[in-house]
Amino acid sequence: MMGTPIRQLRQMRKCGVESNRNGNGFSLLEAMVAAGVLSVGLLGLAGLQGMSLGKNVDANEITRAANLATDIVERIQNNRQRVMEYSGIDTTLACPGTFSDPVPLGLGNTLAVGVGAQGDCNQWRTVVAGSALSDVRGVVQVARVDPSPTVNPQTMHRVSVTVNLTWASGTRSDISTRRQKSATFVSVIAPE
Amino acid sequence: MPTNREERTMSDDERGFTIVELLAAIVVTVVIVAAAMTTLVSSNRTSHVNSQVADTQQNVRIAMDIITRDIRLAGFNYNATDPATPVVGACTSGGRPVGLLPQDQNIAGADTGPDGVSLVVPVLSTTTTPWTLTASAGSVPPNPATPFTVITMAGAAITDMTAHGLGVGSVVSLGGAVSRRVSAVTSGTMTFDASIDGQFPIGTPVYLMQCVQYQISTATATCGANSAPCLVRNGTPIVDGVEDLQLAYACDGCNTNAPNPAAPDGVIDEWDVTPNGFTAGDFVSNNTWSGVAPLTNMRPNTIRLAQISIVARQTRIEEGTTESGKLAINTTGPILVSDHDPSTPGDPGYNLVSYQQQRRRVLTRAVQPRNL
Repeated sequence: MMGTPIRQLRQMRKCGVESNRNGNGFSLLEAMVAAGVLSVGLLGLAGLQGMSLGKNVDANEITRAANLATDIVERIQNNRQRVMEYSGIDTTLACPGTFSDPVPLGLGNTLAVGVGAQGDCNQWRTVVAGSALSDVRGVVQVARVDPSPTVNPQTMHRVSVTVNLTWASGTRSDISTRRQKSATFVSVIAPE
Repeated sequence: MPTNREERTMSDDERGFTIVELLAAIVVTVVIVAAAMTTLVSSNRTSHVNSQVADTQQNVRIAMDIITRDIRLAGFNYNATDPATPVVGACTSGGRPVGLLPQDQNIAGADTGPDGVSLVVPVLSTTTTPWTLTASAGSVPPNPATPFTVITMAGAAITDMTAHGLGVGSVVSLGGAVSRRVSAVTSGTMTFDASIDGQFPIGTPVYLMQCVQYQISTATATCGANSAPCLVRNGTPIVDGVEDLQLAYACDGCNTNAPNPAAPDGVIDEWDVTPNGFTAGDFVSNNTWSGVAPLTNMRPNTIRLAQISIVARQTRIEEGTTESGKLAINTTGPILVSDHDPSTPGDPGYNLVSYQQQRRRVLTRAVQPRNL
């Protein structure tokens, strides 16, 4: 447009102004709209960070839950002769005062029957309650995979142990972000 | 080009910006840029916080995974009632070889620092040549077993084992069943200083035993810059940001005082003043585990459960998540694990201000050592 006579240029601009506003830079309104669009994009990016923090919280909770489940499974593994005693442990209920003892050891145990399972139950309840997961509940279910040795001495005597943990994720006061989470861990224990 | 004044003033659209328009534009621009910068800065800081939190959680999880795996494996059956079992490295207590050696920071009472632990685990082959017997040892069934002191292995396997530390004085385990000290190594054989009575077929794995020690180091020279404190395995830093390691052990057959029976009974021994069954108080932290009288059975092979607590913290102090750089302060108090309160006077390195500015993650787990 360098060589265009200025009148002609002016004429062109006037026409432009009348037909559309392209040649006149941005109006305040346009700038506001652009800023709005930009802010939506930036807010989206900022929201990603918040979401990432939230996922970190989720990951931490799942690590804690897995740690709790491993804890009780290791305890059962240690006391595996009496694995059946652990069935039905529920951290929201008090541990049974006496545990049944379907597989006696016969080693001259002078302590009360089931004292190991009861101790593990009590300690696990404390650990679960102190795990910083809100409204957490741990449940242990034990089921025979193979027949009991009293029924069939040739059995492999495998026992399936299922640990289920449920907890509430999100802020305690904010109902909208609060959701129930659950994790189930299954292990097989075979007492000798 | 015509540039006379009359012409210019006649048209409004050619006058450029007035100062008011310019000021308005600057204000609008400043507002937009300020908003964008706020978002950018806080987003950047949040991302730093995010990565620190993720690292911390990852570190505590990895540390727990590694240490529990070794404690489950500790001992590797090498101490199985055989008087000829040799001591591996520093894994000895009360004049005997032990598979796991608790190292409480302060045996006399409450700790003022992290515990350590030493344990016997095998070195694993890193090459494709398996570390196995290439000829049966101790005759072949149905012939009766003949005591032997020499085993035959592939030359490449011996070379590989030597690269991993095998030499005269090393301890190897045959199939995890019996351990002996090596008295001579040739390119295809290994000689022990005591004979083995048993039969081991071709393909029996041969494990090179080592005594590894877990500790916490706060030295930047050990951990590396921006990594201290760290978890150290045999002098090698393995996990960054691990601040505390506490171990307590529950045992069976260690305490023969009433109400405990004189022999192991499958129930964790009672340590509480008032007998109350198996409780958290029956995990022993303060003991040498060397069989000091009167508890002569108080040795590591009676350990049935190890309770491991690991505290990890972020390795750098971040700048908070807001634009002003205000740090989050955690005033819930120092984290007490086992018998260690980090805010105890005499605990080196405790600083209330920086302690409250760092995020921490704690995991506690009971683990059963399978092979003690």
